[in-house]
Amino acid sequence: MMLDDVLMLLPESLLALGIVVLLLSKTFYRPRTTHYALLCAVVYLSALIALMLSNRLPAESKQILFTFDAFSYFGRGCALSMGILSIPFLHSAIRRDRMPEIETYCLCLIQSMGMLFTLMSATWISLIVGLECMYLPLYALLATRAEDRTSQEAACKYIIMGAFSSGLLLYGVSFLYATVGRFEISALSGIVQSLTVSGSSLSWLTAYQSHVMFSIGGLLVTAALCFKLGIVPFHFWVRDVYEGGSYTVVGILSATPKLVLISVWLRIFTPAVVSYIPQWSFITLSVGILSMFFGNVLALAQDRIRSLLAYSSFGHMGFVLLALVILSAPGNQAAVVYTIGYGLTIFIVLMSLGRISMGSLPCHSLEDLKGLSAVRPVLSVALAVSFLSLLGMPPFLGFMFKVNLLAALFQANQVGIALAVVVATLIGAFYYIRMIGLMFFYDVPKNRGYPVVVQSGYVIDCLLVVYIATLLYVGLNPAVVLQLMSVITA
Amino acid sequence: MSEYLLTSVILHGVIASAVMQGVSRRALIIQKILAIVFAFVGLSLAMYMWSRFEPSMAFQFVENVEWIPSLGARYHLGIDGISLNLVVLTFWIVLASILMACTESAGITSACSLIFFTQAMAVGAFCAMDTLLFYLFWESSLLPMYLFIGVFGSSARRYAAIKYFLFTLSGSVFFLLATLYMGVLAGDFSFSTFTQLPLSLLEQQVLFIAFTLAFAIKLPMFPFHDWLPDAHTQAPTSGSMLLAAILLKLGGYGFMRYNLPMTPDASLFYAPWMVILSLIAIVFVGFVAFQQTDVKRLIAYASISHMGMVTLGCFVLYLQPDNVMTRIGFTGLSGVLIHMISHGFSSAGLFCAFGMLYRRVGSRSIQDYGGLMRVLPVLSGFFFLYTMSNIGFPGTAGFVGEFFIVIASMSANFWVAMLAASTMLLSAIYSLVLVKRIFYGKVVSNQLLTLFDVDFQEHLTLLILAFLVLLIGLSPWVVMDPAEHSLRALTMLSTHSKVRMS
Repeated sequence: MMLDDVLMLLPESLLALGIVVLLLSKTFYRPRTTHYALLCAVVYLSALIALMLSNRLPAESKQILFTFDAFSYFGRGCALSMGILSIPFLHSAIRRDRMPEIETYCLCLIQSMGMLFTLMSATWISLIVGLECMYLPLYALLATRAEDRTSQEAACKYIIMGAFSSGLLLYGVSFLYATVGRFEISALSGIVQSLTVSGSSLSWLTAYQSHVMFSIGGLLVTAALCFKLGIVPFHFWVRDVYEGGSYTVVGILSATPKLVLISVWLRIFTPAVVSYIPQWSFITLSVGILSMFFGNVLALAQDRIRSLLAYSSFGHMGFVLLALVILSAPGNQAAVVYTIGYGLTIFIVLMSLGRISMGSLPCHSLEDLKGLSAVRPVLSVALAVSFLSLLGMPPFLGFMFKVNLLAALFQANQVGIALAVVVATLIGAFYYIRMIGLMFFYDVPKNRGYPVVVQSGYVIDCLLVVYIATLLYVGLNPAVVLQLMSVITA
Repeated sequence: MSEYLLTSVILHGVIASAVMQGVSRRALIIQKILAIVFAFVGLSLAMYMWSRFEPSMAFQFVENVEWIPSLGARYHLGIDGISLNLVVLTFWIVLASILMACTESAGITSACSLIFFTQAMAVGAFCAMDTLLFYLFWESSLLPMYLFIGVFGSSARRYAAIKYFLFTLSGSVFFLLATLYMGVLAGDFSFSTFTQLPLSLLEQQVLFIAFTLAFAIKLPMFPFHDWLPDAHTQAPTSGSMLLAAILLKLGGYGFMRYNLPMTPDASLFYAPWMVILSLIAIVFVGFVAFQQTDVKRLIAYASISHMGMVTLGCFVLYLQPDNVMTRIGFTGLSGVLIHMISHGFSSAGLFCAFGMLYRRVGSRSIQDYGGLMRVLPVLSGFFFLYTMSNIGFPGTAGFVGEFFIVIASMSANFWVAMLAASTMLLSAIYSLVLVKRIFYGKVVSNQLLTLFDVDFQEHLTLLILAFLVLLIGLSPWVVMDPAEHSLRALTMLSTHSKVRMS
């Protein structure tokens, strides 16, 4: 093993080191809560710096388990940045929701490590190990509030459904492996070309058999990824998880993992692979459209915030899927950019909601948002801006990313899909602006207070202001991000 | 200076909006002075621009830099005679509206901040020469008005605010699709590319419908007008002024910039339908206005009826006999522009004057008023002047535009002109009945006898609007001179077929 190989994996190694230090820390001295947060921040930051430095290293030709292309660098950078961003929120949530501190930080670090591994995995084995490494801590995080029955229920459902979808994925991968005979994901497209020309690469399968097995494998993998993304026919666990977990945990599990899954999707379903799976485009397209309408229509009827956000997440993932279906470079870029924008926005939304929700004063129903702007101005403006961005209103980031997505659809000549997207958006408009109305147009109900624990309140208010500025800046000048994306996915 | 003039004109509103948010804890008098100073600065910027404008040239003060290279959209600003007039209108109305908002007792900073933000977005939309940029400004102007109605409005404000937002949004998403369709087809989003882009008749028809949905809802045209009475009734006075005078004009401006030059063949195809809808708006909605017992609702319906004249003036162009099409079409389009400007001033004046009454009496119902001429002579006088302009009385702003549009209709079809001219009769009926019931007759309650007439600030507001109403009425050339060249160019583009040869 060369020194360069070690350096390439330095970010992940630093995260692992951080986990060990965190776990051992209590043995040697009794740190304060802030110390854990700082340690965690230092670990993430050093991993991010290491990642930036490792970019300078020469690209190794022999990459077996991992690939170090621009896209994986970018994804890892995103995952680490989101990790840093989550720390102040976690810090205040630990006190508020009475979560065990060392375990929480540790689980977050492990989860980030899993995401990094998944993002750069080049073979099925590293992919599946990375995905499990990313999901197992999430199950545990959901269950950290031992006294809360609904959170236990959510964790149970999540682990069962997660195991089921992982099973689907493994099963599908085994089919693919049987046809292709190699573990590299990138080998799929190469083999497809030889299959279409000369039949199977493995002697014991006829061309027909291998085609069937390949298709079954491909569709199973699609289903498994849709399961994990929460796309409509596989959506039923999402609402329960959103309802059960604390806002903070839901925020962590609903933001960055989606980007990871989309990147996995992009690695597997290249145009060549897809062309060999009959009906793939049709199935994905219909699932995407179904998801979009189902999510937005059901979200209309919700009077609980978590359910509403859960259903609206189907809608957004539906958009992304539609951009992926067209299999064009602009479509893929648009999907990735949209997922990042969505992830960032929904992360801040859930974290902010977490700040106004505490044991005796929960923020469950939409009514609980009434009059928020008078009590927490910065937070409510951040929420309002996020909702507008999710809806796709200018001048915020969500608008430009949606325009970019629609433009990609038009470039691929998919006017019908674009029409469906805007109709679904229109349906979704009502609940977003209703929430804004609840926050700004009402007085605080007399019998209602908001939690006054303002731990790291100042830091978070600053973060929220920076966040609002970012949404505005990218919304007005999206070229910064779009240019970067076209370099990365090229 | 004039290099970044348009950017600074747009930024003025954004900066003013931010500063007003920042001074919310300061003394009331500082807030008021600051707001009024900002409004005057904006107005002087606009007047400077007006004085530097060359009537004989097309687009001026152009700024054109790269914005989103991957899509081909550019930060492209420029102004011609049509947009110049609307920008100047915006700044005058904002001044009046800020003066009006500053007479309120609470929430001045938020209200002024929202007014300035609306101003920035409206001006941005009028100055944009890139369709994506236009859409950005157009759609962003929704938000401040939503908050304005929802936060400062009266009892049913939340319903009205959401209705306003959803109605407008449902039109504009299809407009966005249409913009993107053309943009991707052309690889560029500028207005000039779009007007030259050859399109088949079917494409034009679909695009026309998408554009029309957005502008017809914003304007509003007859079957899509339902949100406006609610929004106007619930909005605070300064909000109603902005809505009637500026935001509705975005719809009319859209028709002139999108439907006519970009899809001329589809406009020709659909012109009879558009004319019929406009006539329904003029006649039927005029009758509806007559039925109203709520004064603001009545003025709102009168606005819809007047906006019917705007669409009529746009599309009657296509019903002209071929030999006079450009000549008479030009008259019609000039009428549309003048009518939009004059309606801006007179409807803002009506809302403003009634807002002052509402502040004193606290009721929107006509039956709570009566005999006010003796109690409030000055306010009554101004109200009467704006009413005259709304009717289209010669010498006031309302007359010129309606006259031009009726002339244009006369050359197309006698009956169209007949029905169009009935607007003068109908609006005379409902407006004069309104004036009679509020200002003449017996004083209906003792409360009315105790009212004070206008104070200095209110007087100033009313005077500004009255001056403009009379100025445009007596010398419409202040509007027409800078706009003539652009209107002629627009008429040429609108009458020139651009069906793609296959």
